[in-house]
Amino acid sequence: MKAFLKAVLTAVSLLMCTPAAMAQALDVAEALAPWMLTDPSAVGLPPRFAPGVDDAPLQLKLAPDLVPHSVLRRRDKSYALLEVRNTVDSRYAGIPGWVVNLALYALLAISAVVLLYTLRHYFFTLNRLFGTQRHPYTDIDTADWPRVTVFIAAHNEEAVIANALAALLDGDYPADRLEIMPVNDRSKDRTREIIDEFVVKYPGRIRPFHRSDGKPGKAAALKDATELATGDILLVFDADYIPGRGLVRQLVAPFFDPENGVVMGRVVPLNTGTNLLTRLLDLERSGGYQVDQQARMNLRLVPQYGGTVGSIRRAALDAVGGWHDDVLAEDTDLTYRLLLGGWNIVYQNRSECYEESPEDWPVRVRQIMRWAKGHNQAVVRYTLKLLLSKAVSWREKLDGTLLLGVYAMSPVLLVGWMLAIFLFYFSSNDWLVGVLALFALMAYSALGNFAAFFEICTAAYLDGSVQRVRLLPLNYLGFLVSMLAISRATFNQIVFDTLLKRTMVWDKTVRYRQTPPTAAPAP
Amino acid sequence: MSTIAPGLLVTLGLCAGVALAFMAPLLPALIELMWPTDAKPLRVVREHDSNVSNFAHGFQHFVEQKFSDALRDLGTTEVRRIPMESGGACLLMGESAAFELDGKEHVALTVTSLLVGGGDVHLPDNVLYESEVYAAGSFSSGSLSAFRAVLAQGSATLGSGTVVLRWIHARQTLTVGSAAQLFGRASSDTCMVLEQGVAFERLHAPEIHFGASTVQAVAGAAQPDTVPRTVYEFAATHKGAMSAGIWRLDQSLEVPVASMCTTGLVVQGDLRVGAASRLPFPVKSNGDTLFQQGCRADAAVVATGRIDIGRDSHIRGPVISEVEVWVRRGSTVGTPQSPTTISAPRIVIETGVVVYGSVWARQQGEVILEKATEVA
Repeated sequence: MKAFLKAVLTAVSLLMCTPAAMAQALDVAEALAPWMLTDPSAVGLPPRFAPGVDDAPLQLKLAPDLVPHSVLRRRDKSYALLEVRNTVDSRYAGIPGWVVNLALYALLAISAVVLLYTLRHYFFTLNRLFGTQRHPYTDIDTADWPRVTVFIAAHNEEAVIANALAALLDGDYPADRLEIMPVNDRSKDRTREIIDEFVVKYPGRIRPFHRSDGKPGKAAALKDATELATGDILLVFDADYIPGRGLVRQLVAPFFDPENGVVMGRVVPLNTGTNLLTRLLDLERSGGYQVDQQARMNLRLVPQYGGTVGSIRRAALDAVGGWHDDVLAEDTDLTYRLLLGGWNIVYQNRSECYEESPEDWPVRVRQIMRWAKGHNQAVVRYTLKLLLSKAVSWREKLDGTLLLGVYAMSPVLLVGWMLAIFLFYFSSNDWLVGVLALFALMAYSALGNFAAFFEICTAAYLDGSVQRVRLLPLNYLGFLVSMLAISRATFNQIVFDTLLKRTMVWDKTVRYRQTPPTAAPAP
Repeated sequence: MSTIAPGLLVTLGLCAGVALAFMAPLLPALIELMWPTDAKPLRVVREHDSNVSNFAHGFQHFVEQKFSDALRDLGTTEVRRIPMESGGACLLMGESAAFELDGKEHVALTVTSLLVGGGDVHLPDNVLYESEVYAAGSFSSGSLSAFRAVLAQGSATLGSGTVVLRWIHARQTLTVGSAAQLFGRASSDTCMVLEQGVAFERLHAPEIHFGASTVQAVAGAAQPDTVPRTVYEFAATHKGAMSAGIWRLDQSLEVPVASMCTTGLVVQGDLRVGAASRLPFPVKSNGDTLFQQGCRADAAVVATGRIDIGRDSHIRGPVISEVEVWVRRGSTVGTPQSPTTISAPRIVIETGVVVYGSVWARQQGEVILEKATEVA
């Protein structure tokens, strides 16, 4: 019986997965079953743990060789399992009590924020499952369509640019109102050649913009291209996207509503089955678009313009100051400027478009680091403006602020974990065990920055493709990688980019598609 | 050693058990990773082009592929029943053949066969047609019948009380009798006439007449706009601002009778447009929108609440509501040169209305007789 109880406690400690937790389990054992230490031989402990041999078995367990004046010398303390107090003591002499208290309150604050994000994810998921779904513009199929310019952002895109151009030319938008403008930003491969082949084969349909100098980056290229565009509505696709026949029409339809400034469609990974990373990204994208974005559309909150598979009202863009070329995430930047300018942001879940997601972890890490830096720029620029704005409703302020904080949550979560571990070792506060467990639970549920697990499950259910949900436990791996990458990017941004005035550099995502078409298809 | 060994073994055994228990939830993940069953990209309907007659085109392609030779070989008055690869049967009718129920069908009042007519097709009253019907010429049905889907290369006429469960498309005029129910899509390449009491979901035609006598409304819309109007000035008391050619008001707005607004409007409340007013630019209300009689809007009308279009009004742009659109007698929406869309969960259209383009009721659409009073 005793051996069994000991083993169960060991198992519990193993499940908690930390040496500290193991030690804590032994503390629990001590409180629950003091006979374990009075009869150590019965549970396989060496005689030195027996009373009389050593009067401080806990000290021996945790730090048997410490000298009495060590900062890690444990204070005498009696444990009570259900004791709840408002302040905590330091467990060790060298750590002042106020440090521990400060850490505790910081941890509690972080826990509260994580809880807020968790509730937000729950709310979105339940809305998606049981709430009223808003698709107010998807049925507009007949109208006097406005003139549109479609930008295809391209930098060394020889592998994919032809597919994007061919797909756009095959679309059903009135040709006389559609201007296709590949924005070839200083490509050094065959991108220019391929575009020019299309221009020759489809006279009057494509107006290329070959950019050979100027500021690097997508925002800067789009800024230059916009000056040449003739459309009232601007659509932006990355070169690896393959728009369907009716997609341009779907992305333009919401602009009949004069309050709408920008429209975002749904991005669907095409290379899903390549490897573990692409499968995890597929899950993450599903949760993010099918549940998160659509719920924000349903609830009239702040859907995010994602920089591609999206469209912008030219007049709205001009009204908020055009493209900012000093940002790494022009999409987030534009989302918040339009929001502050009183424009609505629309998400259209049924306007779907295939994209190519990263297939290598280093590429993914670079991509997400760029997103993180760009998003953090927006945090600095727009948080205060958003909170003080009179043009934005209170719920848009709340959701907009939480959306701004999405990437900041990674380092915050990391700090929270470190605080939890610190407090676990150095605080005498027993009920922190509960906080730690709650924190771990929340972190697991909310998944911090991206699609929460239950959002992914709901998305798979709504998509009618449920077997892929089996991979869900492995998504924790992707979450950890993202969290560390974003934390690193944030650290670099604060320490190197800001303090040392280092220029932030646009990092293009690698393409993987094979066998590019060498020539434009016949018209 | 002998005293430790049993405890150690139990501990190790339980550790292994715990490890297995921890790994168990991962097993489906690992199996799915090693032997994928659901790794294809999510299906994106790339061919979706918003074409209302998409199903009709697909069905026509199917008929031409499967039955064009058989129809050619068929005598003009011959009726032939042939089995289909997918099970069931197809009833092929010659160019002048008349359809008659066989004994079993006559008892059950149900036709399970696919009907393919080489010419005009006329079908009797009060019968359920479980498969699609194709007419190379015109098509007509008696009253109270139910169809799965119908494609007519000529005109199509549905008797009163008819039900279409999925779609109907006519290359020429589609006429729908009173109290018919059109679930799914109904479309015509030329013109559609819906009588009073018709319930519908999705309609599309270059001209859609609600009620038989809409000629006056069409003529009225074609007349030049000569109503004298006063340019509406936004008062200083209006809370709002101008941005990108659009007035954004943080309150409800009532536009006086016979006014002309010279900018677009976004209203954070209800919008009430006085009779005979004109709105040349798009308007949006985050509440209800009411047009009194004889208004004219040359661009889109959008509302998060209800939209009520008063009698004899004319709207050129799309009409989009998140709740309900009510179009009153004598009004027109769209023009022959510039067809447009009415879209809302619920759409009520009075007889005497003409719409050029599409009417998409996501939940229910209805054709009714004129109501005596406008809903405020």
